[in-house]
Amino acid sequence: MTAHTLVARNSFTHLRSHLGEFEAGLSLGLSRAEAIRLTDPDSARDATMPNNDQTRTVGLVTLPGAFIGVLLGGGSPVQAGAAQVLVLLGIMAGQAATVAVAHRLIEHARIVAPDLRLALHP
Amino acid sequence: MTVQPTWQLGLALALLVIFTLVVSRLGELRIGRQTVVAAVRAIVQLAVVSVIIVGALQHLWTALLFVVVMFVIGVYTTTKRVGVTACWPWVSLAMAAGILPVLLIVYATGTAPLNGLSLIPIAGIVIGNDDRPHARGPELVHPPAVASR
Repeated sequence: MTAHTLVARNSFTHLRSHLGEFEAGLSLGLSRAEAIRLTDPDSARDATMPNNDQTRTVGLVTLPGAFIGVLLGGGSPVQAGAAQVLVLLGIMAGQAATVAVAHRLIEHARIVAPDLRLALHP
Repeated sequence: MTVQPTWQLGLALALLVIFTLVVSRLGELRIGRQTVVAAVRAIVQLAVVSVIIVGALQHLWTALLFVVVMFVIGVYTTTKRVGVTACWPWVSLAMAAGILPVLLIVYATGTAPLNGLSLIPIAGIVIGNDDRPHARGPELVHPPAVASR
């Protein structure tokens, strides 16, 4: 949910402010998906950044929810760590897949903001 | 260590709200009313959710139903936030593409036993894919109630 919100919001914001580049891409003979990818190469990657940062800094800067939850539930710190690393890597994998699919669907104007519908010729 | 819903908890919650009110009054934060509303909402919502989850944990199918409801709420929330409510089938596809493989790996490897107690928190975290608000109770990897079955 969070990853989808980020990738869609980033992509639409970027497309709105770079519609000229997108249309230039189309006029060069690029497909809609190619033109979107050309004008917006970073939105998909950026959407995975918050979780990536949390995964990198876990234990150093933060103790996230699963870790605290297992401790409060009576688990040992090792069990808490095991649960937390499973959760973090699970989120990382899930976000990567969701963002990859969502970005493809945005490139093909399957997921499209109402105000961009006309500009993207879906 | 476990926090139990005892009268001590009630006392602590009341003191925390009073402390917040006093501090916001002294610091002229003007957040008195909204903190009380937020505190009451948190208490009521978590009490209701706790009772519902007790029910959902009884069977695997009720836990699955609970997970489906979480998924629907997740799709609704993100489509609404981004302003693409009409595209909900495609958004569902994108979210399912992230959630199903992760659950498959977790349960196919036997990392966690497939039951309500593990499914609701793991699926919940992956659906929301955000571990900040999803602190959870009992042990995730070795739930004793399950290990002894």
